[in-house]
Amino acid sequence: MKNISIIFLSIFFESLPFLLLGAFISSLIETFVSDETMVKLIPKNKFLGSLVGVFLGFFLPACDCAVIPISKRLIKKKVPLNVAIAFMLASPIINPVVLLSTYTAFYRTNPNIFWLRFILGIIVAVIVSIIMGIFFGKKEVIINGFLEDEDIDECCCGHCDKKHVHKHDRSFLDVFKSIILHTSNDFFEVVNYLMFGAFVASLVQTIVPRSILGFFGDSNIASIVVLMLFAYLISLCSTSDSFVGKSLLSIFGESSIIAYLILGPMIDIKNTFVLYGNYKKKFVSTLIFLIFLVVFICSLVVIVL
Amino acid sequence: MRNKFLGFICLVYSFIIGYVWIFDKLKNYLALQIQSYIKISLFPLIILGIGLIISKSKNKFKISDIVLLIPIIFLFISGDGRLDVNFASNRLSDYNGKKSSISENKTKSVIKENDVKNTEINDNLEYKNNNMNIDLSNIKYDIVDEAYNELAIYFSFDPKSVKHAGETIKIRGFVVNNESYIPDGYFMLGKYVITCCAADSSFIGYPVKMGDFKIQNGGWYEIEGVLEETGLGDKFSYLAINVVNIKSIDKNTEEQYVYQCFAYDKDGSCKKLQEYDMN
Repeated sequence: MKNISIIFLSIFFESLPFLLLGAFISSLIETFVSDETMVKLIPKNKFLGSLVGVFLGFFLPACDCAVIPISKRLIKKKVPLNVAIAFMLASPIINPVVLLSTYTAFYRTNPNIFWLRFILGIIVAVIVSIIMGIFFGKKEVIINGFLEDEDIDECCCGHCDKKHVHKHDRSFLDVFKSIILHTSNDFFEVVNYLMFGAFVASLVQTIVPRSILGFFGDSNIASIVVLMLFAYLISLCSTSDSFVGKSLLSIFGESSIIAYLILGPMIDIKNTFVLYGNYKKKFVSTLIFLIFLVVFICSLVVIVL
Repeated sequence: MRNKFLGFICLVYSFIIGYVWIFDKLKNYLALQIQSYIKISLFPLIILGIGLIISKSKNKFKISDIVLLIPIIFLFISGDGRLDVNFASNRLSDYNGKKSSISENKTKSVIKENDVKNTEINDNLEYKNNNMNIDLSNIKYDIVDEAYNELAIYFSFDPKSVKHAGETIKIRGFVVNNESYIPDGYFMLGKYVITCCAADSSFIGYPVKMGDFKIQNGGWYEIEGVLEETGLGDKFSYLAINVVNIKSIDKNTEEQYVYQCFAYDKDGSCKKLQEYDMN
C-alpha cells in the first residue's frame, strides 16, 4: 500500500502543475476570446482544420492531462470537433518538450523511432480527429461536468454558456474573478476524475510486474498489442515514456515501441476516467477504439516498411 | 458553500506540497526538473483557494467532492515516501531485460530472503576480503549519482568496457538478490532511475559477485572492489564487481533515485560523466 501511495502521489504531483496551466489557459480563452473569433480563425475543411489542431498542439508544452480542459473549452467555444480532438491527441506527442525527450532517448541509437513517433503521431491524430468529426461533429458530446459553468453564479466574463451579453467595460476585478472561477471550474472537472485514474494506474504499476512483458517479445503482432495495453495501463507522462520505451527495446521491436510511444500520450487509463467524466460515453468509447485501431494499423505499416 | 469547500481543497493541496517541500520529501516523488514545477504551482493554488473561499456562491456541497481529499490520505500512508525494495521486482530496466534472457536457464543458488533471516545478520555489517591485496587508496571509478545510470549501462552493454577489468570501483546502493534475471552467484547493487516521477522508475543495478559474507535483500551498502569479467553475456563477457570491502550504510542519508545524466546539468551537458574513462 505504501508503494501504491507513493506512485499515486507522484502522478498527482506531476500532473498538478500542468492541470493548473491547462485550466488557466482554458479560462483565458473563455474570458478573452469570443465564439465568433474562434469560428473565424478555424478553416471549415476538416483536413485543414485537423492540421490547425495539430499545429496548435505543437506550441503548447502540455502533457496529456493539461490538454483535456483546453480541448473541452475549445469545443464549448464552437471550434469544430475534429480540430479540438486533433489538438488533444497531437499535443502530448509533438510539443517541443516531448520531442526533446524523445530525441534524447532515441536519436543516437534509434533515430527512426524519433521520426516515426513525430510523423505517425500527427497522422494518427489527423485520421482519428477527422473520423470523429464525421461521426460526432454535429452532436452534443460534452456532458455536465464536475462544476458546470451554470454553477458559476458570479460569472462576469460575458462568454459563459448563460449567453449573457458581452461586457466590454469589464473592470480588472471582474476579469480576475472570471479567471479564478473558470480556472477552478476546469481544474476540478479534471482533478476529480484524475483521482480514480491515478489510483488505478498506481495499482497496475505496483501489482503487475513488467517482467511479464518479456513473454510477448517474440511475436510482432502480439507485442504491438501488449505494448499498447501496457502504455494504456501504466499511464506515464509523455516526457518520460521515451526512456521507459528505450529500456523495452531490449525485448521488443521498433514497431511495438512505436505503438507504445504513440498510444500512451493519446489515451491511457488515467485520462479515460477524466474523459468519461467530461464527455458522453459513446463518444469516449469510440475515440478510444479508434485510437487503438489506427495506432495498431500504423504499427503494422512500420513492420511492412 | 461548494466554492468554499473547493477553495479549502486548493489550500489542502497547497499544504501537501508545502509539507513535502519543507521536509525535503519532494525528491521521493519527482525528478529534479518537475520539482520546480510543483513548487511554482503552490502559489496559484493558494490564490485559487483564497479566491474561491471569498467568492459568493449558492452552490451546494456534494458528498462526492470528498474524493478530492484522497491525496492527503495517501500522503499519510506513504510515510517517508521511499519506495521499498519489493518495488524493484517489477521494474524492468534495460539491464534487467538483457540479463533475463542470459540467465533464464541457470540454476539459482543466491541467498534468498528467508535464508538471510535465519542467519543472524548484523545490520552494521562491515566486511573486508583479506585474500585480495588491492590498493583502494586511489579508486578509479567512484560512482556518483550523476553518472550512476550511464556507467551501469556502459559496464553491462558496451563491449569496450571489458578493458576496465582489474580496475577499482566504489559504489553505494541497495541490494536486490532474489530476482530470476540475476546470474547464479551474483547479486545486484543499485538504485531507481527516474525521468519525471516515481511512476516511471526503473531499477538499475551493478552485478556484484557473492563472497563469503551475508547481505540482506533491500539493505543499503557501500562496496569497494575490483571490476572482473563474469564469463557471462551473449556478445561479450560483461563486468561485475568482486568485493574487497563492503559495509552497510544508513538508507536515510542516501538518494534512492538517480536521473539520466543530462538532468543534473542545466545545459544537459553531462559534465560529470565526462570525467570517467568511457572510450
